Amino acid sequence: MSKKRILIIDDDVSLTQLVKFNLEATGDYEVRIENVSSHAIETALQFHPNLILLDYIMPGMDGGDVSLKLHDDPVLRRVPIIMVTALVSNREAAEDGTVQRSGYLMVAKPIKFEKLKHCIEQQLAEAA
Amino acid sequence: MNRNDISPSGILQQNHTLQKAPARILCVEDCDGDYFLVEQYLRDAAFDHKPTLHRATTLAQGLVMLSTEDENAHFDVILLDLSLPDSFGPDTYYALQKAAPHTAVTILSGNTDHELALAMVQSGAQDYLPKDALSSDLLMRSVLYAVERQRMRTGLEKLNDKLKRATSELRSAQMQLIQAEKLESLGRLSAGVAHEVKNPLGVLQMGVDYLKGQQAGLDANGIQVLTYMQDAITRADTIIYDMLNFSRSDELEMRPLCVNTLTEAALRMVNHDLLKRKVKVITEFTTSLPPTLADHGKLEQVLINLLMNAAQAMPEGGLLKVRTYCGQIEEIHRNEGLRHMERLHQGDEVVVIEVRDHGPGIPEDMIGHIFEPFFTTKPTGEGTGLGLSVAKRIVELHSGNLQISNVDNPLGVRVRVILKADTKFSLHPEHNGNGQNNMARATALPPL
Repeated sequence: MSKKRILIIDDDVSLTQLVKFNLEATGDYEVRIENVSSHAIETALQFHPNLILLDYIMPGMDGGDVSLKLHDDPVLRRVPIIMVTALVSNREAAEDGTVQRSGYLMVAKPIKFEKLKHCIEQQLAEAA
Repeated sequence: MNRNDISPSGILQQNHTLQKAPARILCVEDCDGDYFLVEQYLRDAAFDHKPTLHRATTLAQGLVMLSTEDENAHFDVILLDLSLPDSFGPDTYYALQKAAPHTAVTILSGNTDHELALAMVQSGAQDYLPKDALSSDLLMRSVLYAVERQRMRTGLEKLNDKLKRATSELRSAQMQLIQAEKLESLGRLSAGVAHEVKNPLGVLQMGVDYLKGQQAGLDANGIQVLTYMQDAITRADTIIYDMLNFSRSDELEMRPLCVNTLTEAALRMVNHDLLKRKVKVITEFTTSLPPTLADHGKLEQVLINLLMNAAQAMPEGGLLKVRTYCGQIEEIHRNEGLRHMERLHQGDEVVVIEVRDHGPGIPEDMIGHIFEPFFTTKPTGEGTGLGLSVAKRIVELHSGNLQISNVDNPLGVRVRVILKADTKFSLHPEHNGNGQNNMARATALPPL
């Protein structure tokens, strides 16, 4: 089975690196990091991700802006997005660790990797 | 007349009536000759109502007579000889004044010491009459004036007490406002700190999770270290959740509403004040506006604040124009400080409530500060400087925008409350004209 491609768009270098380590350690994913939000669309067009992990609060273009740009692209609009954001809390999350808000699927920071992985698998299964 | 009426006009009315009331006089005098003389003068005086005269021959006896609880036995004026068998000089007056602080005291003295006379009057005595210069007319006038002046003094003392209480209450209210603002700042600070801490916590969590996956390379202590770290992350996350809960204490009760209904309600609330201030309101409501999701009570509070600001900007009265309309955001000037998930975006359909006054406008050097807490251009006592900062906060909690700008031709200030239109909900027709959508005629708004 080919590896699924995950694009992480977040300005926090350490966090993105650690999420990448965890995802790659499963052996199921190929991961690309983009720490500059204004480069997100270009990177996504090159990488062709199966799923995007997107931070909301970033300098310059924020997650909302990036998501709108992704939606404007005929190819990228079909890529599922999980917002990984400090704007929501784990306590308000549903059983599966997700929060539905403003039309986005969100998971809270800090999130345990197992929950994040579960959420990614679910979204990929739905998109397939 | 209300006996509790201590307003200046109330005091004047009391004066008018009391001149006709019989006075109860206590004469504290040990010398029989002097007392009989006083009695004679008072009997001969042309009072409308003859006063009743009572006598004490010592300070002790006088104090007993003044200490009665019986209201009918209270005295209106005390005629006092300072030289008594059990007391002498100013101390006699001080003792009586302490026992009956609200009773007028006229001192009758064989001593013509002007310094002493002045000192006694400065201490609160209403008059200081030399016994050898007494006459019926002088005594009558002194008694009448003493009673009236004492009433005035008592009234003023009560007014002063009331003023002190009001000042104290005002100070307390100001402290509460400062405290409220501090709490709000603390809320904002908590939210900011909580948010900033969540990112590094996320790093720690992912780090711990990664190392847990590599447990084969860890000894027992290493695994224990990871457990401690996980506990610490969970605890910190709980603390952050509680801090955020504190900062969200002002959450809104959102429901779809029509800004016309809301504006009408706010105008009704301030109608009386506007009439009093000779402010004429012209409304121009666009019918069939799309609804907006909002907290009615909180937005009404914002509008009342804006309407009253506009009225206060026109102290001589004037024209206040209130409009509602819908529009589309043409351009957003990004405010990096505003990080709200559901803020307005370019192309958003919005409803606008506009309040336009015809006052002098806001000085250009102040317009940048109007949203700062405790900043005010109003005279002392007329504004706390919190209204606009709170209004802005409420509008921003609605993901809206509060714009204030000076305008020309004619001069004045224009305030716009811009709220996102919610096309998902429809309102009952009675809330919103004929229910037809007129977004096609939406105004293109200037950049936000």
